[in-house]
Amino acid sequence: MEFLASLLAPDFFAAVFRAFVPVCFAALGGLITRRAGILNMALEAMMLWSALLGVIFSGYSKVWFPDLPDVACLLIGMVAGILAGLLVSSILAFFSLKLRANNILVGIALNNMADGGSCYLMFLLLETQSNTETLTSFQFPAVNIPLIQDIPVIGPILSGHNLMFYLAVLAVILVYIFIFKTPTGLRIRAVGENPDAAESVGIKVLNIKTMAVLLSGFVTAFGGMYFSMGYMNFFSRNMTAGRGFIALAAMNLSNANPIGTFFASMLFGFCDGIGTRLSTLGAFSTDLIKAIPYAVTMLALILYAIIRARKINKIKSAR
Amino acid sequence: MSSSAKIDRRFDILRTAVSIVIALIIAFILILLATDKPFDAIGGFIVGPFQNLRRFGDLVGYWIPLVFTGVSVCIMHSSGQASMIMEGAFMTGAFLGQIVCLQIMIPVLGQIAAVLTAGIVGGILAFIPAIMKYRWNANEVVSSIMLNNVLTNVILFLVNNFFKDSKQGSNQTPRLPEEMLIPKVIDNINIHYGLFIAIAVLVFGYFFLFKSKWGYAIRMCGRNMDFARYSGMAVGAVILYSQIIGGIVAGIGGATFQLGMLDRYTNTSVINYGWDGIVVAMLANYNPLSVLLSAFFIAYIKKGSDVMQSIASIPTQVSMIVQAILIILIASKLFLEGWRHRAIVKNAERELAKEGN
Repeated sequence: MEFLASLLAPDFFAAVFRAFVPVCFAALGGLITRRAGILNMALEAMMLWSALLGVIFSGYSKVWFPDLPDVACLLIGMVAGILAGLLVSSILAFFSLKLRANNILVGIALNNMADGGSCYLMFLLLETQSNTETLTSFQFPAVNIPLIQDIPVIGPILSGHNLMFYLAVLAVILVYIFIFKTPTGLRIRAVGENPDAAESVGIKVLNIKTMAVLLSGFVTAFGGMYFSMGYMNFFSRNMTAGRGFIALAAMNLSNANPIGTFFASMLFGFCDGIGTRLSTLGAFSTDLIKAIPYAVTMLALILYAIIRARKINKIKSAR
Repeated sequence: MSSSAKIDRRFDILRTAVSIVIALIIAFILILLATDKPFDAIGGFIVGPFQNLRRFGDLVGYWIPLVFTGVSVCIMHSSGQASMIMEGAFMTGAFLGQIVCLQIMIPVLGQIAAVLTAGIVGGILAFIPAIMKYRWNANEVVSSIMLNNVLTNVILFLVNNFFKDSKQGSNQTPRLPEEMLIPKVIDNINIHYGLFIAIAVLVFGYFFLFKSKWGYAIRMCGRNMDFARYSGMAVGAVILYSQIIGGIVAGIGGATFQLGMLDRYTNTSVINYGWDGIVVAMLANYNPLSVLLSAFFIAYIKKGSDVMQSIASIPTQVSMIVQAILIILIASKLFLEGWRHRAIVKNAERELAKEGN
């Protein structure tokens, strides 16, 4: 009973939202490419590089220009992180779209390269392969929303989270508007559903797909930066720990709809939060608990696939 | 073979060769950045694995599991299914190999039982994403990766709670005595009898994939699923059995690796062989016979980077980066396409001119 009550505490929501943010950004990134008909497997790579390069640039800009205010260094780091995401996505776009490599293989290769490369870069710059704690870097601040934070029960739950949480929610709305309410979004969806039809009305399929991939890199970069510049202020080896794949699953679950993605990412955050709670209770082994998010994702995938298959069967038999 | 097809073949080989050269050049640049003794490091990387029998034995030790996972990927991915379950199947196979031998302390029987169990469970594991794809069209890439993660954690749980060696720190199983391991061909060198199982699997893989009707069905489904369906092939069954057999091979590989190379099980010593199997299969153009060479090549890169680390303290991540670059370049079908296209056009013009006279 006490356990259930603790679920309603602001702490728990904070934990849920913390896990939610990177998955949400990455899932939105995956969503944009999925709408263009591409499965983006390189979300991990985008997040790892943006996390590392964000920290490096925000830290080193302070070292090289000591007079710069902290906020400026943070912004420099953010720009670096975004550029990192764009760089990775441009590599993905070039090899899978221009040179027709299988995008799943390129995505996996990019992920492995990011895992190894980020450690290697850390090693080259900081002589260590574990984390960048020796480099002082800056974090996005927590935000206390003035009026809302005073509302009795809900206030502490809604206010006081890291800036990037609110950015993530905003991103969901922006991506929704972009995909469903703008002409470019319509083109992306057209290219995703039927590239030949789109080509026939004059849409340059290659350009649209490339743009979708680059945009995905841009959005996912924020997810990566949250790890090393929001939640923590350093980068550590393989910090993303498979979140990119969870994000893919979340995106799959919601059928590439931003609102659905928001809820799927929340679901994952919830599992993560519950897992941490359960492990502090000591009732279950931490190892099994760590498996919960992945198992739940699989079950959700199965459920979703069953529902979709039934719908398709209904349509087929109605003919 | 027509002359155009010959040119195509030549370019496939050329593309692989150029990709390898580019990847190695990038590797050398990375090495240059990390050390002030680059030539020592590069020398160690290139020649190191062959310099003494122990190192060469380690190379063979890497080569054997890569043959298994390489063949596994050849079979699974040739059907067009991009399941990643071989990583989890390999790890589970290794874990089960250790556990079964621990329970059955009878020499030869225990090992055979272990390898068989590992294979069967590997097949069952691979069946899960396969059936999800078959029944409900669930994306097998995501489901297999999720399953891999679940397996990693479940195995960790089992090791820490049921199979722990209480005399050691966490995450290890007890040691297996000498007679329960797969014996080495030469004492103290890592070339073990699992080598022969690997070769057997390789030969099986080749005959299955290229000389049997089931293998043919798999390859046709991979090339063009619709064509296969309209030809009357049971595409659903192909999806299922290609992945199950791949899973069996990966499971056997895991057990063989564990019992041949290690005497304790830890999660960290069996990771990544599945992922590496993908590179191996790609380099081999999904032909099990070529896996012999490509697995050797990847094992060579791995051992080379080990040597480089011990000589010049260069992190082994270099080999990960090299492999990643290789995958990207070799997977790029239009790499060097301009060149290839011009060669074919010139050849065609020449043929036409010949006919005209």
